[in-house]
Amino acid sequence: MERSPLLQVEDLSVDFRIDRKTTLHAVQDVSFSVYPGETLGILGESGCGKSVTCMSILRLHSERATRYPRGKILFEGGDLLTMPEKELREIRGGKIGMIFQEPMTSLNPLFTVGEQLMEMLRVHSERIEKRDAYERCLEAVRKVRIPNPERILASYPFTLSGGMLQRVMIAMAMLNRPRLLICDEPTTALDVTIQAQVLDLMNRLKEESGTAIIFVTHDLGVISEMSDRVMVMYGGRKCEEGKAEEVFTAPAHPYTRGLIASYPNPEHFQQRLPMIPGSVPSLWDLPAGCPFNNRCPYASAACLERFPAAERPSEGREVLCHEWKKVMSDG
Amino acid sequence: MDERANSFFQDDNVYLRSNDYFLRADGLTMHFPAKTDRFGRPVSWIHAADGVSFQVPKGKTMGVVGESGCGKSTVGKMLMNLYRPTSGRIYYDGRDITGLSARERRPYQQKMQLVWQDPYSSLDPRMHVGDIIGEGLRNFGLTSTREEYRERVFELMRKCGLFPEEANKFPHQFSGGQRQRICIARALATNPEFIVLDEAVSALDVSIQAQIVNLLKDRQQESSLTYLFISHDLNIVRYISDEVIVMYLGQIVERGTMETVFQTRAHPYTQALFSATPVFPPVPGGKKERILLEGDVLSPVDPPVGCRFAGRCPYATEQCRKEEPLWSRVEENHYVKCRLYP
Repeated sequence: MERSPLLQVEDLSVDFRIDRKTTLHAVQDVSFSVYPGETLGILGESGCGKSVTCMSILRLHSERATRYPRGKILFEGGDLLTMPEKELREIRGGKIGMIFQEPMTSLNPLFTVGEQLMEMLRVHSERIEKRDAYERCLEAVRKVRIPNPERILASYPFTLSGGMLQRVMIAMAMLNRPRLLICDEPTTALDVTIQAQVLDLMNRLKEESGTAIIFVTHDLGVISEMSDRVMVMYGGRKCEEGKAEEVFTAPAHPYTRGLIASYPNPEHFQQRLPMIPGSVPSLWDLPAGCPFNNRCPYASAACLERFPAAERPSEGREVLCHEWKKVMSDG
Repeated sequence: MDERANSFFQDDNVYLRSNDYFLRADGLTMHFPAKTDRFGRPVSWIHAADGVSFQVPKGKTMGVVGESGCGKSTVGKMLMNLYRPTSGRIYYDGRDITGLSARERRPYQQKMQLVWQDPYSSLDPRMHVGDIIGEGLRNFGLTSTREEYRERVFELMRKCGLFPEEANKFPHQFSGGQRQRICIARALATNPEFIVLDEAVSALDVSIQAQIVNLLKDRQQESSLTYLFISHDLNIVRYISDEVIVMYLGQIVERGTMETVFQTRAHPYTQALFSATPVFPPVPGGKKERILLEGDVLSPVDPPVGCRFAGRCPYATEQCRKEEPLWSRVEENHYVKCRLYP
C-alpha cells in the first residue's frame, strides 16, 4: 500500500483531568492511518478508548478537562490537535463527518429535520440560496433511500423511528461530501433488520462517493462485514491492526483471540462458550505494563513490567504484544 | 377481536403437548390503552401481545426472540404477574396461577424469579450487596439463624463467581458483569424453579456475556432450573435455548426446538431476522446475500387484520393481508404461522 494516507494518527494520547490530583489516561500512544476510500474498523469493549479516539480526531472533548500530552493527527497537511478552533470548525461536518450512536439524541427536537440539514449546508457555504440548499437536502435524503423525502424534511425528529433518524444522520454527514466519515457505533441502538438496512446503505454510499470510513463498534459480526482493515483496542491501548481477514483468521494478540473465541458462533455450536476470565479493567486502576496482563493466558514477566513495542509480523500488520509469536504459533 | 382469539386457541391446541410441561401460557393477550376520549375511555389499543401460547418443559430453556416492540418483554412480565393479562391463562406446574390474590400468589413468587436487562438500575444503590442477595431469604423466612443466613449468602456469591469478602460493598463498586452476577445470585436465593431472563446479557461486553451465559447454564444443570430467555440476539439465544419462539408485533410467528428452527427457518420473518444477524467469522468468499426487509416494524396500535408481517413480507399475497394465517406444521416439533406452508 503505497498510497498516502488520508488521516494519520501518531502516538495519540488523551488525558482527562478529573481534579487537581487525578488524571485519567484514556488513550495512550495509539497510532493508525486511514487511506482514501477504505473502511477502518475499530474494535473493542466498553472503556477501551475507541470512542475517545474518534472524538479526539475532531477535538470534540471539553477543552478544559482534556489534554493531549503527545501525538499528532495529520489530515491534509494540518495537525488537527493544534489547529486553531476556527479552522477546525471548517473541517468538522465539512471534510470530516461524524455519526454517533444514538440518533435520537443527536438531533435538535425543536427544529425540523429539513431545517437541521439545511443548516449543515449553510454553515459551510454561506452563499448558498435557501432554495438550492433545500434541493440538495432533498437529494441527499433520497440517496439514503428514505421514502417520501418531502414529508421527512418537514417533520420533527421525535416523530421518526430510530432507523429513519440514523438515515437522516447519514444524509446529514454526507451532505458536504466529506472525505472521511467517522461512525461511532452507528447501529448499536437499532434492531437487527434495521441495522442490516443501514449497513447496506453505508456500504453503497461508500462505493459511490469514495469516502473513507472509520467504523467503531464492539460487535465482531458487524465489524467483519464492514471493514477492510481493523484495529483492536483494549484498556486505552492499541492491541493489533491489520487486514480484517488476516486479523480474524490469525489473531496475533491474545485479547483478539479471546474475543473471537467468546463470540457465540452458531455454525460451530459447542456446549460451553469459551471465555476470557476476569473483567475489563477500569481506567482508574489499569495494571502496570500491558493492560491485558491480568487476564492473559500468555502473560510473562515482561508483560507485567512494560508495554510492548509495535512489531510487524507481516506487511500491513502490526501487533503490540510481547508474546505474539507464541500466540500465532498456537494457531 | 374475540372471534380471532378463539380461532387462535383452537388451532393452537392442535400441537400443544398435553402433559410434559412445567410452565404453560395459554393465549396470553395484553392490550394497553393507547388513546382515550375526553371521558378517559380508551378508543384505541396497543396490542402488546396477542394470543401468545407456549409451554416450557421442566429444566429446559425457552428462548424468545424478536425485535423491539414485538411484545417479548410483555410476555415475561405477564408471567411474573407484573402485568395482569387482558385475557389468557398461565399454568405453573399444572395449576392455574392467573389472577391469584397477593396471598395465594406468594408461594409462586418464591419459585419464580426475574433478572432484568440493566444491571445498573435494578440494584438498590443504598443496600450492601450481601443484603440485596439475602433479601429474598429474609422475605420468605428461608433461613432460621443468622449464621445460616450468612453462610447461604456467601454460598450464593461463590456460586455466581463473586467473592464473599465483597458482601459489604455497594453495587456501584462493581462492574456491569459483576452486577449481573449479583442479580443472578439474588434471583437464585429463594431456590426458584423458574427464572425469566429479560435481555439478561444484552448490556454486557462480549467477553463478559460468555461468562454469564456459562454461569446460567451451570446453575441450570445443577438444579434443573427452567428459563425463559428473552433476547434480540439470535446468536446468544442459540447457545442457551432448547426451544425457541419467534415473535413479531405481539404474536408468535414460528416456534419449535432450537435446532429445527435454526436449520429450517420457515417463516419469512425468521429468515430475514437470521439473515440480518451478523455472523462471525465471516463466510469465506465475500459478503453473503442478505434478505433486506423494507420499512420499519408497524405500530402495535390497532394492528392490521390479516398477517401482521404482510406489509414487509416479500411473499405476501392479497389473501395474507385479509386473513390471519393459521398454524401449520413444518416438521416434528416445528410450527409456523404462515400461508406459505399448507
